Amino acid sequence: MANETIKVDLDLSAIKEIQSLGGDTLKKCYQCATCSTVCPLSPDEAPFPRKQMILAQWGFKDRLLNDPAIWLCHQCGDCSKYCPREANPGEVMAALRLSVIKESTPFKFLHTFYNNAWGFPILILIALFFILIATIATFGGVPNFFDADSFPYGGPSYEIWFLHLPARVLMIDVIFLPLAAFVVIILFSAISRMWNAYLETYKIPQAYRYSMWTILKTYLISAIGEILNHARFEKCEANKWRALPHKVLLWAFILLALTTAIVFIMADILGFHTPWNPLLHPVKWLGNIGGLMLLYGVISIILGRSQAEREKSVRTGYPDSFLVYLILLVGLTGFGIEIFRNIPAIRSLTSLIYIAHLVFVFILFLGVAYSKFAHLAFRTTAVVFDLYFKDINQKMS
Amino acid sequence: MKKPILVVGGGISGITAAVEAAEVGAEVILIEKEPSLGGRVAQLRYYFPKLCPPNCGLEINYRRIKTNPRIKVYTMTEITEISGEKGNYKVKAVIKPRYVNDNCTACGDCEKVCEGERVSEFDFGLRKTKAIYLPHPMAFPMKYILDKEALAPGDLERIMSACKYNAIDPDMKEETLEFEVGAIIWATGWKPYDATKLDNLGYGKYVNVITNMQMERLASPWGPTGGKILRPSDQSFPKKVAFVQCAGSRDENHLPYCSYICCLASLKQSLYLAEQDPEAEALIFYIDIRTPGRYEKFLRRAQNEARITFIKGKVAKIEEDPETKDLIVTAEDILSGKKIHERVNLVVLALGMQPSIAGINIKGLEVDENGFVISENGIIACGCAKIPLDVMTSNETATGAALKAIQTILRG
Amino acid sequence: MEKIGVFICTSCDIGKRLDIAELENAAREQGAVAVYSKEFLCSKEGKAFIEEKIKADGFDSVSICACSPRVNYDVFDFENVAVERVNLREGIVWSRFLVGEGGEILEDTADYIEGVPFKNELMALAKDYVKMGVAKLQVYKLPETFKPEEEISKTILVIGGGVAGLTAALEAANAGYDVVLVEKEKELGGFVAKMKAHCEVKHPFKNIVPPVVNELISQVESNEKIKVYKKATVANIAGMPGLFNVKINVDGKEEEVKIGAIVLAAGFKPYDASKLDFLGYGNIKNVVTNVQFEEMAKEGKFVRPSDGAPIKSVLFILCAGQRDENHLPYCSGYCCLASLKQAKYIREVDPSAKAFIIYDHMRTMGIYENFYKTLQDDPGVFLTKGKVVEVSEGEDGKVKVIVEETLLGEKLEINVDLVVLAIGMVPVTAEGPILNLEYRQGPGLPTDELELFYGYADSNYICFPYETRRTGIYAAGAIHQPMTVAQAMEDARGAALKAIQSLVAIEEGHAVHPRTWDFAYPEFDLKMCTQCKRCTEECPFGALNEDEKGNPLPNITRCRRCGTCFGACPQRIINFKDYSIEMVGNMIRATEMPEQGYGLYRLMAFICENDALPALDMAAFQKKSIPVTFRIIPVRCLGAVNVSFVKDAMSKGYDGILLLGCKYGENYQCHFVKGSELANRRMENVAETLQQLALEPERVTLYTVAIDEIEEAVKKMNEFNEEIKGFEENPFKGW
Repeated sequence: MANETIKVDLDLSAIKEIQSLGGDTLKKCYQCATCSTVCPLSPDEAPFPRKQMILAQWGFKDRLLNDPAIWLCHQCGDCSKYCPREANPGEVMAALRLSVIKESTPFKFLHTFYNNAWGFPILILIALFFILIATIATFGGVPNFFDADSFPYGGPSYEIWFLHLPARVLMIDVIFLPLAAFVVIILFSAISRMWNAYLETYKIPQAYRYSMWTILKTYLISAIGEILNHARFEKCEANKWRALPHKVLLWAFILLALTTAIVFIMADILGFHTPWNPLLHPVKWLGNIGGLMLLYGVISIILGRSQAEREKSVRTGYPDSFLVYLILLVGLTGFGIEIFRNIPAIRSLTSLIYIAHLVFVFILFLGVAYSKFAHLAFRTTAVVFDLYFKDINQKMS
Repeated sequence: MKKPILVVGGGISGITAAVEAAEVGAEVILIEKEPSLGGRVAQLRYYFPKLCPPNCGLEINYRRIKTNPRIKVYTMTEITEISGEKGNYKVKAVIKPRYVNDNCTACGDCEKVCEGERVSEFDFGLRKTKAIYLPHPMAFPMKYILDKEALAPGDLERIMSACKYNAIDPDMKEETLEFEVGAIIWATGWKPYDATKLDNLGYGKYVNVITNMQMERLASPWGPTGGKILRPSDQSFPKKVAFVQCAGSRDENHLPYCSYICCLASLKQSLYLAEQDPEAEALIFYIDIRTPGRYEKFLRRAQNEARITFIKGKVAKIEEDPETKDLIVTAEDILSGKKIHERVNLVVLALGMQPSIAGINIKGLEVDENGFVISENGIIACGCAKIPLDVMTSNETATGAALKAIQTILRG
Repeated sequence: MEKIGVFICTSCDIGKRLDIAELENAAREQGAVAVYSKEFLCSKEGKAFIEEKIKADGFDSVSICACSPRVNYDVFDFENVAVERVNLREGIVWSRFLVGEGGEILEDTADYIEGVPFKNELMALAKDYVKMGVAKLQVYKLPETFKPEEEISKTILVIGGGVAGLTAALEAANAGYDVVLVEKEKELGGFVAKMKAHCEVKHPFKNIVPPVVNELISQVESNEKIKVYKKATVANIAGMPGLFNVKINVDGKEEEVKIGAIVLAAGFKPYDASKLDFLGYGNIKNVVTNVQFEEMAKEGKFVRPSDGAPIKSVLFILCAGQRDENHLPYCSGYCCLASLKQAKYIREVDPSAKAFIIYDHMRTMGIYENFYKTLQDDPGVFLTKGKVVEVSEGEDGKVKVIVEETLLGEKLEINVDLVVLAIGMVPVTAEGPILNLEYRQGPGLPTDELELFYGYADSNYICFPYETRRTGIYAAGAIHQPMTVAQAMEDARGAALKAIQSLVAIEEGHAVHPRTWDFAYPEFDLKMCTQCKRCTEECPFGALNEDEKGNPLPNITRCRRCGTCFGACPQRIINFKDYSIEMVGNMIRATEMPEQGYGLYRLMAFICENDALPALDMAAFQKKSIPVTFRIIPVRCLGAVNVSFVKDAMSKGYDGILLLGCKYGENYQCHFVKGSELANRRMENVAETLQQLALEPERVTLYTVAIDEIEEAVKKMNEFNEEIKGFEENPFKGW
């Protein structure tokens, strides 16, 4: 990379943006490379984050967008802890990730909503809008939101094709199936763009540019393996504590996804319809365990962060707290529904909790493309590339 | 001239300020907290860039003190409180007991019979002295000092009977003094930063990680190894040494400023190595090599005469090989953009300087957030008590401080 | 001296190893009026005893035969009585032992050689020492302080009206001294006055402030103790400290003033940028120096020289010529700070402007790291280490700069409106004498000294930054060393003090550092002078002028009492009251020389009292053994060893003569600059003389040792002793 001359044509706004996304300290860096050395994840061949710091200082945005190192960083915080200039490389890297997410997704306004406190109410309104439209459409008018038997457990049923769908089920489908599709498409295009950029940045010879399928079967599997047991995350020193809750959280999402899938098949397709007894029904157990893990994970993250904050090994910006609290809300409202529904005295309020739950889930879903949550896709891709790159490096040498 | 000038600190800056002021006719009181004058420079083997022994200049200055009746020297004395104002200060001081009086002829008979030992802080713990000891071969005053805590049973009787001059006085008490002075020159200098606070550099954890001041003692012909540079673990000559620059300096978590001398000190110490074995290798891990002014010539000299590899990138990780006690230092070689892991026999931390009085609160003395003294009219700071400096510049500030003090006592 | 009393201390092993009665006799033989021996002489009782005897016997001089003069200096000090310290303790009983095969120390009673017990040799040595003490006092005269006929001027001349000069002038005036300030420009303030701003000179050292000189100028101009000459230069300086006659050329007219001491603060010139064409200077309009950029900033017009378009981007190239053997080999110490400061200028006028700083090593020394930090925080300042490999015309009037080896790991092309070369400083002393001294050794500071420091009027002594070879003339500011504004002010204070101090010394009639305590001075008996000019050529401090015939004309207040002239004079006509050819001769003669064939050698050592002697003292504290054959005569400097000493010792029958002094060469440690070097040169003539006398030249040898080389000093004395054993006895014994 070092031979070709790059023309410096920078605009201060790029730097200001990174600073506004939580990288406000990046200019303090004086390039001693303590960060790269103390970083338990940075590889010998291409250490980070020192180089990313100066690239950011000089506003070389596009180079950073195409740099997997941004994602290989798990924000252990060792760098920030030992940084002699209090430049917080860990936070700068996080800011860079946010700007990558922003750059690689369309409808940037959504990104803005997701990463500024004032955007939250707007997100809620957006979610409500879609949910209400769907409700009105599927329930044939506005149901009584103070009677659980009117909503969600009421309304007409539909016989579509061989499927037998009560209003509440259809409603969910019409909201979330398109939403999921939307997010998937966005992320897929972003990821494939990113992948090609990586190939360019690292000058991968054509001979080694494998088909997507080969890449997936050769590297994705092991990448996912790594991710599932948090192999990289657990190398963290300064913020060791984060690995476990984050892992729990990840597994929680997997369980919940699984539950949702089962419910989808059983209810929507096979027609075994909820509500099921939360205490007796095995699928419910699965969901409840997932939910509990989710709460455990997210709460210990919240506590851990405030602790780490004090030890100045991590700094929590809005995008961070937004995500954790959103997940917390999803979890709480989820259990809320179960609880309210089964206590006659307050059963009437179930529908409101239900709506709230849907709203937060909606925001979370969309957030997979626009919030910090997007690292789910981007980091995985970067890890895959990392494995791929190391592998072909060996092959090439 | 009216009131005397009080010079606090008997290191090179204080001594300079004292003699320069006295040779203009001022009465000077020079106080030092240690048992001997000389301060930090007395612990150095050589000055950069000349590679000449500091004691040579100290000898001349001691003679200037000896032959100047206007200078009164108090050792083992510390200031506790300053009151009053410009031209008219009252200063409280405490004199710690030496347990050896002026009868001492430094004949050394007491040392011969003494069995108790103490760790020598003059040698940064690299050796022990007897409980009764001479601070160092060029001590000023040339008198012994007794560390009562370190006495072995029966020592006291033995040393007292060995001394033919009743010089040993175990009942000496701490005294408090009050000086009335017109001006105060504050020259309390610096102390090495506490290396154990640099938890990623292994000092105190790995025996072969030492500080640059310990290196000076190892290289000193009067030092614990008689001038042979031998690493602590096995007393062997370190063929490959890593110098970790900015150990504590330029670091918001430790000393936010640059300590001025560490780059030059490491270059100098690389020359010590080359002097003892031309094959010896020095790896200097730096952020910026700071050899200002004509010290640039010294940088070139070191490059020519010693086998130095400069690596831009701060060492932030040091591990020990439990077998050999060698050390593996890790840094990013920024210019190549790759991380390197170097196995070395010895690591020298180019430790930063901290004001001696950092953390000590002296009533009536204004200091900044780092403990450097801020001069205000009648209290004039100089040398490293004021800002981090090298010896030459310290002495410039000390000489200037002498004039400021003289102006003060003249105008009252 | 007439009435010499001798006091022998019996403590610290002296009484144990030496026969005191014999020593007393020796002293009497040599002519002491009375001899007393007593234990613990340095005790209160001891001192009282001596004082009482001085009164009773009316001694005019006493020889204290006890410990080294380096200890108990304050005890053995008696008013109007000459004191000689005979070093029996460190010099003999703690340093002369009979060492066995295994290095173990044997009894004094054991044989030194067949039939001669060591004790005999030890006593012979001790007696020689006691006698030399008396012999010295016999010739010793109490110094008479030097008092010039003319009235001493206490006015201080400050050359240069920049920040250093202004500070020096003010500080001296505030200490009550009259000052004459000479500035070559038509306005005061020097370079700093031409600045828009500079880094603040006190805590917290992180902001920029308007030039401090503005305040200094008004203070100087309103101070009635300071007389300012503008558009003026120093045409000629004659005379000596306290009595300088200075001709000042004021705008063509000449004025003469009486001056006591001088502060040289004539400052620096920017390096000639036209030599930096490889960085585009001269060929590309939009490449300027930091000095030019400072002017632009001061005027507040940031426009491109080429077309007057506003400047949106600036690139600073640091070390433009500095640290480069082909230009300025040294670092100018201020350029990093200056460039950071100038980056701030452009950023302040235009928030969208960009400042690039390409450095090799960012040298914001010490507390100035604070300033670096403030500048880093600015999003519009871009810093990287790097090598500028190309500066060329770019598109639409921009300058194209190619930078390699950057921290970004990339080769960068940066196009900017303006390139600023951070050029270094050149001291004016590198270009001319400035002082125009009417000295025999030339109008400027000694060139060999200037060459050591790239033309800076710097000191070779780390401990003594104001050391000068032109007594009474002290350099300050950017002519002294490359430095920042704050340091220049500190430096100027120090220089002002040294100037004042030299005047106090003249008043009190003693030398200045390093022999501050010395009231004696060289006296010339010109009747016998052969005009060989050695003294006038060799004086390290240019103290001696010459008359038309070539006779030396001493200027005592320039003199530092090193005795180099004394050592140089073949006619032996230069002497001090307390240090003379006759004195050393008398000491040598006082020693006893065994007959031919006695079989034991006698060696004479002339040892520099500044470094070598303390080293031997410390060796004695560690009970290291030096050969009993050595008779040691301390000298003030090897430069003050006259060849006659050697002749006297040889003709007395000494088998070998050792000179031990300080290191010379580029990093010389001689406190009188040239002493040991000259002594070494003189050894060549000595070698010839020896050969004429059919004696081995190795019999007279010069070694250098540093003060901490205790082992070394002892080793060299032992080696010399062994070497001499290889020769025949000196045939001149007993003549």
